[in-house]
Amino acid sequence: MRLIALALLLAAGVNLGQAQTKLERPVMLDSNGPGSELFVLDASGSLHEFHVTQTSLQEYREVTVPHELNPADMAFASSGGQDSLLIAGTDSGRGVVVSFSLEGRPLRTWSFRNICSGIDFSPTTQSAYVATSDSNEIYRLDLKGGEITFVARIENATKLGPVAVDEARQEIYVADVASGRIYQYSMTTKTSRVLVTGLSAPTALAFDQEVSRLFVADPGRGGIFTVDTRTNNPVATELASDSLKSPYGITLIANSRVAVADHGANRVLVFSTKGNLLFRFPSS
Amino acid sequence: MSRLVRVHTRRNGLSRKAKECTIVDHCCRHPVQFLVRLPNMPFNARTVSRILSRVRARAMHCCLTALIIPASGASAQLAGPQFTMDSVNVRQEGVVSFSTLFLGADTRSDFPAPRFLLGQTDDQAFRLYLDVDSIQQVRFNAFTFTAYLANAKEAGRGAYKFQVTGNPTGSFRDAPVRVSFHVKSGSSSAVGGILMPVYNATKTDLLVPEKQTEPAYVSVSGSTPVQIRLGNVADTLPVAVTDVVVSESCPKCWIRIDSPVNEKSPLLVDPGAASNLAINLFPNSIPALLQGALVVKTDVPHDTLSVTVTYHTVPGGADKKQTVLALVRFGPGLFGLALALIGGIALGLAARYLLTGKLGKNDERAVHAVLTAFVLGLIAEFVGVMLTAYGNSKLVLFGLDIDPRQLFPAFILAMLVSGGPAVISWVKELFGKTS
Repeated sequence: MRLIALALLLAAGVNLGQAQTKLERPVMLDSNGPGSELFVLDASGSLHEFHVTQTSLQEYREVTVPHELNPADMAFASSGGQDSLLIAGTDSGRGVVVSFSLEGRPLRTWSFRNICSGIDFSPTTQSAYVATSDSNEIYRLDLKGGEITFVARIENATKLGPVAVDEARQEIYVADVASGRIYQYSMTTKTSRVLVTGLSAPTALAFDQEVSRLFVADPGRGGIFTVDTRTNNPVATELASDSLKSPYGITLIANSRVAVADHGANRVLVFSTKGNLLFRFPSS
Repeated sequence: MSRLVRVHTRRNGLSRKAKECTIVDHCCRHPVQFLVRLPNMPFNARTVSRILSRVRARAMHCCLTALIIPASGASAQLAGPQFTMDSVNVRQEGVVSFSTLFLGADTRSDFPAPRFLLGQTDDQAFRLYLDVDSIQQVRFNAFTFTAYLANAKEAGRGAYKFQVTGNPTGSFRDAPVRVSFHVKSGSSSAVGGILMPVYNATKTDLLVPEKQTEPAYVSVSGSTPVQIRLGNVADTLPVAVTDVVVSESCPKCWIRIDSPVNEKSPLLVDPGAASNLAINLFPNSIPALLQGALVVKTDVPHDTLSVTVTYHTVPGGADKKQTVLALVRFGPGLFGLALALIGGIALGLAARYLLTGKLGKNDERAVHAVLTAFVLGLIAEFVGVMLTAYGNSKLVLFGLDIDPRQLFPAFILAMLVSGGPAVISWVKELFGKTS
């Protein structure tokens, strides 16, 4: 009898797992680290939270972001012992960054004069760096003090989007979605330059601190690319494209892997940093 | 670009079997890779050395060939025409700027409509084909598409492939516009134009719902189809509604609400026109009747449905959502209305008998009086329903604007008609009001 009961429980568990294997229009994602938790926001404003294992993603929670908020980018932040998700975007046409608990509860809101597009969190400085798409500026948001400080304006940029921070070298990488360029801004020398061209619409960046490589999702070219930032003349090298339809988001996860939100295919795909497809969610 | 060059060495007498020397044209940047496959061959040092020297000689030749081939390919890419698209003002409400990225020469030479939109330079030297299937909306309010530029003189010999990114600003609606483009090839340059769609993700609520003048009547028995009229602004792109989700204020009043519109069978709303969005309503009879029992005024809804439609412009627009409110009033259906009428007539006759001691006028037979009450009650109900449902008239009883399609008003109306002046006077006295 006990065995039968156990079998029934296991069967129920399997069914529960199967019932959750659906994802529609994933737009952006980030991880706690690179770590073993993955957060995926879809087009309808649902935030899916996953445990990342060696071979799969296991969804454990789904919460809804308030409809008034129009999210543009998302970053995981751990500040003052509290894990949270920072969502940059617009609320009633105004630029905002909203901090949410992992349970989906709004914690704090910061208002900006311009439309917030990209965001990345720097654990060392406990700050988020926010790009604005209508003024092409970068701001530093101090999560402890709450102050917003102007960092730089990227001249000649058309529409700034995603941001990635290289904490070791104090560099900010920011993509111009409209011109297909990626800019590099040095917080030390306070100068910016075009890092790479040749992309179409880079909509997500992720920086690997260990190997100083920048990962780029470009739905315009239908692939993900990598840039070695240590070279004098960096180029965007294609990492994967065959298995991708419309890669909107990209982030690094535990064990040197790259997670990609494929908006067009309603999937999250996980690649090795060499571009080999490891697994996908949903698996079918 | 890597290219594989194969060399077959069928000499030497050592082996008649083919030996392959594979050279990868990475040799320009990396050491040359040789894969010499000599199955069943005795490994004699001198022999191997001789083979290698021959193979090296060939390899040098191959490498030179390999150097030439990609170089010519690269020069072909570099020799491709320069292609740019001008910014375009959309209905004075915004601007779209474009950036183009050259992806190289492409072998495609067939560009069938309607998948490909055609543009041409004024001198007809180049044709521009926009791949409608490649249009995609990306984050941060931008859109991209693939375009092919074909030299008209070299028809059938492929085209140059470009990836174009559109950057909208302002508040315009997705619309077809004429965009100018420039092609520079060698010393000559040409201007052309193409009629193509442009998009703006920030502009929401593209559908214009027709204002509902009065709540829709929904019978509590069976299903009732309700139409919501959705319009589209002229000189824009067609809109395809692909999903309908309905939420209600009174969830217990409904068994099911559905719509035949979905992704496989979308509702198309053409520019400057309107289409009916069909929704099938299946009310839960008793809760729905109770919900509307005491709400007798005709303009007060019994329930408000929030109909959220998902739609996109065609072709290639981003998914958008818009919520339209639909007001409904529940009605008892024919059977329920008949029961209410019979009940009202019976009660009216009973009241008349109690008040006057007879069912009809003096000397009127009881059967005649009952039949008269029944027929007059039926006529009154019919006229009341027709006037309120299809005309602008109101039925006012004791100062209240009532809906004769509802159970309670139908019952009262039948009771007053069958009860006659005696019952009406009694009611007037009771409430001290005049109708």
